[in-house]
Amino acid sequence: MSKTFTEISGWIVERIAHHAEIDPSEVDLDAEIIDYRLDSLLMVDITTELQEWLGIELSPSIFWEMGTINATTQWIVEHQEA
Amino acid sequence: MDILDVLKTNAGLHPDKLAYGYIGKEGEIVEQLHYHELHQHVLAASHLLSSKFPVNARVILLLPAEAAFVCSFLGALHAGIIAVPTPISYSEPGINRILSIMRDCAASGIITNTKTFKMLFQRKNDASSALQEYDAEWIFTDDLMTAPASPGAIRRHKESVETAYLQYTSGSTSQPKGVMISHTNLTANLRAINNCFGRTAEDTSVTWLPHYHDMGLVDGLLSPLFTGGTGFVISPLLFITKPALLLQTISTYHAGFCGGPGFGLDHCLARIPQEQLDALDLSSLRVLYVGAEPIRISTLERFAAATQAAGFRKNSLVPSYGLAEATLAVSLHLNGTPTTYRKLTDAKEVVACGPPVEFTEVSIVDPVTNLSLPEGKEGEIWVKNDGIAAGYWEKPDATKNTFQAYTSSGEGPYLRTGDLGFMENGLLFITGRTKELIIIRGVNYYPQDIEEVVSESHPDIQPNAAAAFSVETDQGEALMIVSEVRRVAQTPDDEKIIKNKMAQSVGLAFGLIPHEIILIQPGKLPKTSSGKIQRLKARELFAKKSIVD
Repeated sequence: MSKTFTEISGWIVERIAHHAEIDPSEVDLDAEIIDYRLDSLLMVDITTELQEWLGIELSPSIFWEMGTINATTQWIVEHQEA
Repeated sequence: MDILDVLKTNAGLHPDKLAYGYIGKEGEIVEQLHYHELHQHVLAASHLLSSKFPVNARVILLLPAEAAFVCSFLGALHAGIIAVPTPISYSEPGINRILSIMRDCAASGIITNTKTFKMLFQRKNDASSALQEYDAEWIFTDDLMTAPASPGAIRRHKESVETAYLQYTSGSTSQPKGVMISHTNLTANLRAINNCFGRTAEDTSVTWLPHYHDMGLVDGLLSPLFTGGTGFVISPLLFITKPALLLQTISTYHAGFCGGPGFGLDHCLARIPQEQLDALDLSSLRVLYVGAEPIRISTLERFAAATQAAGFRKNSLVPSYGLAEATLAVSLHLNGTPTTYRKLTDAKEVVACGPPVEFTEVSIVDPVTNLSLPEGKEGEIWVKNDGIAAGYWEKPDATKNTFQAYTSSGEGPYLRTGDLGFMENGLLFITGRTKELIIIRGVNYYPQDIEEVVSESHPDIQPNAAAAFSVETDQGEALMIVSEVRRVAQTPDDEKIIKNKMAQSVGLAFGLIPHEIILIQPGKLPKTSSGKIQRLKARELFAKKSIVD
């Protein structure tokens, strides 16, 4: 089942907020994800969970490659059918 | 008897015994290879590869931690092909690293699977097009693992001192160096490790280490096979997300052997609740080796204390020292005996990494004068044994400098390790490094590579004026970057943007997040008169400063 832009970005925001120990409202879709200063091990965790949730394979470096939550989500939306 | 002879013997002795089991997300076994089956896969792969590549062709292995890797690796060796295990990465810098290794060894083939292949080319960029255009034959393990049985596959002849596989010391882009490991090297080191550990065919081992690193390949994968035992494999990614699976597997299968960088132990403690640890049975572990990065005594102590209730014996901890240039191990603590700590003059405490392994000579040498130093004196560690490789692939100068060192009194040749230490009562203590190599979580990074990425990450960064080095933190070694910027960021906001760009570029290229970034004015970075960046001096200047702040 394909997920919508809002579902995916919402999921990522929730996970980043959880790990960064901040409120989801403080997570900006257009901020550089690196800005949240999450440990690289946590980023691996988030990527793995995201893969399982979506049921598709993702590059372990997808967040770094895409930079922002918006860009990452956009990429997934365009590729999740493939 | 090299590793392939051992495989053949074991397949004959106990064909139905489990050689490898691959652990899945819930701890279940998702793939298994019994000895006879493994041998058949290796022969089939060898037959297929022999028909495609000449002896000594270099073939890249781009595979995840699954059964197909060990079958292809051994199949390549059986066909006399030089195997080149390479880390998979799908990002542009990652693909560039794969390309730089391929170019360095003039690879003529790539063994991968269709899933990895698809991921590599999912995004179009310069690196993926260059990879697509590279003239190499792609072999898919989907075909290799279903290749028709070929029980009569002939092993193509090579001398045992010729290169069997290339171990790239890091994914260094600027200067990849492939250590040439022969069957003689591999057998000598596997024998030394397993004689020291006392590992037998009755034993079970567990590994989570990446198979493209010396420790993951030689001990993680090949030691269980060499001793005729059973090895369970957990992929590095799975270990990172679910470290409890590692200890759970040890507990379930009564494993005797496991190891890795100290970070692995810290990671287990950080992620596994005490109640869950207490419910495990770790009493079967005879060896839990710790190496690949500077060993922190606090890591050993904390792990031993937290797993005591699970039956883990502290004297199963094996501080170890080794490097890819020596195949793997140089010295190993003798398991079952207590570890030895020594206080250094600066109040730092170091742990002994045991005596040198069998048939190994370790000399402590002054790295400047090449004078042999007496007992207890700190100097560079020089090593001589049959595990020392012939050199770096097609790098005669680097090979001469590193592998053919002679002391001032003419003794040698030795391998210069670039690591500092001293010997006392027959035990080797590691104290630091002469080289500026950065080791984080057991992975080696070359500062030049990181600096190159830093320099290109933002237009305001002064070219050739960044220093990357490691600093000690509570979490072990971490990366610090100092860089000159053209217009020193006028407002805090500019500085933040530049730092973010840098951190993001480094994260993308190396999967590392810098612990600290300092931006400085042009001309403030210490350099030699010839303009070479002085990283150790930069660390002295800036790392200290940040502590005072």
